[in-house]
Amino acid sequence: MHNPLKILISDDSLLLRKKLREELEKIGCQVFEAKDGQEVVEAYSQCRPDGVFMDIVMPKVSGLDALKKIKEIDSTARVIMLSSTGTASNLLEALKLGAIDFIQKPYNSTQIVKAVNDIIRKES
Amino acid sequence: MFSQFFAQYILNKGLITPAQVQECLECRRAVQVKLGILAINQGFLTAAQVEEIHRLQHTVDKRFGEIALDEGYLSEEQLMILLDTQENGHLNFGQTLVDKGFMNLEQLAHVLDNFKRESNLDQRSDLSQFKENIRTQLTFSKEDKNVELYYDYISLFLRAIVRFLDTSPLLISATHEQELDRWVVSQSMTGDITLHSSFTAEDSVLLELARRYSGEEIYEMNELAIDSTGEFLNVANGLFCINLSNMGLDLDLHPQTVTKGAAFLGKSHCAVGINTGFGRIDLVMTGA
Repeated sequence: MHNPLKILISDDSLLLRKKLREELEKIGCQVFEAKDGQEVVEAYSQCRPDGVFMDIVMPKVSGLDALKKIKEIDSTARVIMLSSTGTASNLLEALKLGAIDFIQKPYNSTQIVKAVNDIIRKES
Repeated sequence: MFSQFFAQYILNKGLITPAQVQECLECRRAVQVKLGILAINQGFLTAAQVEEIHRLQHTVDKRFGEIALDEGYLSEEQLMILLDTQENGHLNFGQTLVDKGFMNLEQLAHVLDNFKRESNLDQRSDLSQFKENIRTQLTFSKEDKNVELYYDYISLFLRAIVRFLDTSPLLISATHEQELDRWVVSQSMTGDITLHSSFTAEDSVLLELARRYSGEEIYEMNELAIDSTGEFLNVANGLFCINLSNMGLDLDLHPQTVTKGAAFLGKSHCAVGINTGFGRIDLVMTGA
């Protein structure tokens, strides 16, 4: 029996964390949550997830700064950025920092499942 | 910003690799979008017609626009629209994809078409209709330079109500008194232009909005309800930014706030009332 995929989600929105958790648990993932950019970096060190879904605009530490810190902790970290909107420079910065995907809100189940498959593919 | 949304779409669809997206984003500013791609984007020409004009350019010493006019593919009016749009440069990413050989014109035309359909960007005529209806119902001071922006914003906000709250909103007269004990949901958009938008309503109306938007059973103005009202505005404003980006205007969204008794953002503002079918919402916009 396989261990469930460990996914860390980080968004300051309670609604989005709840919805994303439900989507991920539906496909058998074990979910960890963080509410801001500072928490997600600490949580990453503690739970060493297989993948991270992270909002770009977050309090305390932005999603991009958190991505940079996570990559310093683990250069192989698989991070997917979420955004309701942003600038081209944000997208470029996220890709440069090593994000594997960038999902526009509001997202749907198909996009989440595809992103999880990308995480699995990168892992194998 | 159109480039960014289009780049995200292509990335999410797995049509090219993240490295290729990065490569195109990095050099897109140096690229001038050619009329052929603009014409495909506007729906004036098919990819095959553009290829045909490119082929003719090898045999006659004429520019793309001249050949398109000679062949009757474009009218002079359409050509002027394309030349105006060329200055906006918002399709640079698509041009770069073709220049780098990551897609051919036909593939780009197909992907652009899907992108616009899935992002509701092809509903411009629907939006124009919305806007014209609003124009007949609301009159703003012509001296306010943001009048058109307000009409655009109200159109998008009403459409977000239809799409996310499953109801048919009606515009009603604005109230000029702000009730200080109400929750105010606000967000700023800054960039090529500045727009602050806020809305407020009685708790029972906000609660119903939160329920409809989230699909959750919410019975009091708790954290989930407050968060859901903020997310509704955030997503509506995100769609507004996407539409503006298609007109070549770049805007960044700031984090939304939901605060009880807060003042509306900005000094002077434009206000409208909206009857949602489940109660009244007061929407306030402030330009800079």
